[in-house]
Amino acid sequence: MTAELLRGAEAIGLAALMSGVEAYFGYPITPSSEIMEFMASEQGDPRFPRYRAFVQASSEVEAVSMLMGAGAAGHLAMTATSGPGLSLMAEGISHAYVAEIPFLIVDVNRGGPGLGTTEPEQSDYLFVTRSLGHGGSRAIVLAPEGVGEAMELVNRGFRLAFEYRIPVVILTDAIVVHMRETVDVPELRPVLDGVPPWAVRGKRGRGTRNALTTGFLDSRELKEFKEGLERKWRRISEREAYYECHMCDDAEVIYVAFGISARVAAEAVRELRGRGTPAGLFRPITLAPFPSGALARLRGRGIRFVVMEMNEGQMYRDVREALGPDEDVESIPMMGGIVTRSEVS
Amino acid sequence: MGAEVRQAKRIGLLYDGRASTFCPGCEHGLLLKLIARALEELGVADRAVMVGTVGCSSLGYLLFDSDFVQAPHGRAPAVMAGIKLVEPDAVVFAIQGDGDALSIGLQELLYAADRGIPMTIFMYNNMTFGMTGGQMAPTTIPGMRTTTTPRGRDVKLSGSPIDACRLLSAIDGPAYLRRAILAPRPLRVKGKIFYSAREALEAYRIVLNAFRAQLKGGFSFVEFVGTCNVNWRMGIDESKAFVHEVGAKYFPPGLCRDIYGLEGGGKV
Amino acid sequence: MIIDPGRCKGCGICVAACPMGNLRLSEGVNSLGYHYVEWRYEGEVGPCTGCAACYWVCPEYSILEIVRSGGEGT
Repeated sequence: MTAELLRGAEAIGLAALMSGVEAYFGYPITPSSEIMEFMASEQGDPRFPRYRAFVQASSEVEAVSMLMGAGAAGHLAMTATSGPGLSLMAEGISHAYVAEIPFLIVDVNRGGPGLGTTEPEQSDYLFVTRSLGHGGSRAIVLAPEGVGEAMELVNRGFRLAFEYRIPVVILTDAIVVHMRETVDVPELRPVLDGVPPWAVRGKRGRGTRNALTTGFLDSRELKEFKEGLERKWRRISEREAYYECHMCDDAEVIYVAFGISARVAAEAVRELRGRGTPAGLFRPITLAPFPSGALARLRGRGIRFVVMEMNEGQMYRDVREALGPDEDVESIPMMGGIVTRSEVS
Repeated sequence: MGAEVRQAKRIGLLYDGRASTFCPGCEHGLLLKLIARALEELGVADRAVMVGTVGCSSLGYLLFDSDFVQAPHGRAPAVMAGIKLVEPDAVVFAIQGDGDALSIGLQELLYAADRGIPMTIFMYNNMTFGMTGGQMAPTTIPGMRTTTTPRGRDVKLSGSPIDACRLLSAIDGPAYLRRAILAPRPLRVKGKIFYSAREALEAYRIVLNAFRAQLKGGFSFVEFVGTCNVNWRMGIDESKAFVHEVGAKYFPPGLCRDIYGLEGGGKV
Repeated sequence: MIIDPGRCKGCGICVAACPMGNLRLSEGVNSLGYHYVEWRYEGEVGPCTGCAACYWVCPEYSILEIVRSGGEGT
């Protein structure tokens, strides 16, 4: 583990390269373009021989379709985008979800909806966690709070994508991607060893073909298939719901926050503790599956929950659902990404 | 070429016994058969990857015993690019309808052509959106009645048919661009209709060339003009005549580009 | 001559493409409900030459294979 001063965009790219990423297909969109530019400059880096395909696509629609191809062929592929681009990728993600095709998308959340701003927000939460794509499509969503964790979650994201054959989104924001932090660079290992048996790349003596379809001619077939996808999601929810509960044991006030907001909340916790109020922080790391079970264990203790997020109150709904109607849950919406100390304390 | 091409061999890539879902007389099945035969003839059947499209063409995967992945409507060229960049030995192909290729998928097609990543695209041009019931398509002919042009396509409102070969000729990337009539020409002799295997055999040679172009590292695109007698509300023979007498005027057969000289010519 | 009548959709193109008149559509129908192609060695015009026109024009792959056996064949 070496300590390095890394910019978020480069750290994410580096983590992907260390994880054995083979293809990057992207499109410029603020505030994610730096990730693509880093990956463009990394072509031919002898440290990462697996990385051999970079394409700046003609749109996010084309980019996600290329991800589908590379993922279907059993290879690690990724992109980075922001809200408007992610909206365009929703169709491809829906197809990939049902065809069980893995790839990684980094969503660098900007102000939204529409063109919004190029400033950070956390307003893509509902989109990526509830239904990323039509028909009940989903993805696993991971939310790092800083540069170091972003690296670790990129690696974990690729692992989860291929273990469960599902698209994975890293939900981050312009602050994490643009800031520089000194991080202990984690030792990340390549995620894949050889080509998976389900890969679509030609039968090559296998005998039977691999067919990844997204359409069904029969409702019963669809029903059975989706029952399988639901079972898979239940397994994911049971095994892969990650969170961090900081000083929760004796807390009377618990902030619930993810990503960069969690660092602001951590400040608030420190300040309250300094003033003698036992405060804590519950930080979901997977936003989907949401760690509801862990949150629900904090019920019945008279804790005041304060949900802080840079949107109008999206994760608040998941927190409320996990805790039930009787707990004291307050929402602090920080739309436009504007946070003031008075709002927080 | 003559004797071996004409040999009527069993084709392994087509599942035994499975009937297609294509309408009687539709040339989709013919195209699929020629593709299967060509891949076997070139010895690359085991490396073939069919990328599914949306439209009647997409139903081919039910019959075709190769690795397969479905693409969203219009996106097959991009999905194929993704596969080819990580698996360069795979022989990737797609059968797109005129709607899939020139309507929703036009951008993906143009950029795949522009990059020239080796792949093979067959566009089955039947001047309509067949699977969804016969709506106007980018290649619908002026005056043609469809479900969304019930009084005939009006160029002032809906534009003119798009010439895919000409459009792609403006891009440097492709190695092989070809258009041909896939429907057999009906010949009326003494009140009886006769057909010949001429179109099918010429199409077979073109399909072989299209794959050869990919194997040489080039992007190949072939437009096959075929029938949709059901949505055109015509009988089988009438629909074949329509393609040759009317369709061929808007989509004349010809070689638009041949960088490798596969048709014995050289760059056109 | 190996035919799979179950795939035939009765389009009749092979019948109209056969130069020797060896093909016709059946009286009965197959499981899909179509009159299907039937072949006989002695055609209206003459014996089957194995020209394979039917094999190539068939849009369904009902004409599977032509085995040149110089006589009746299958």
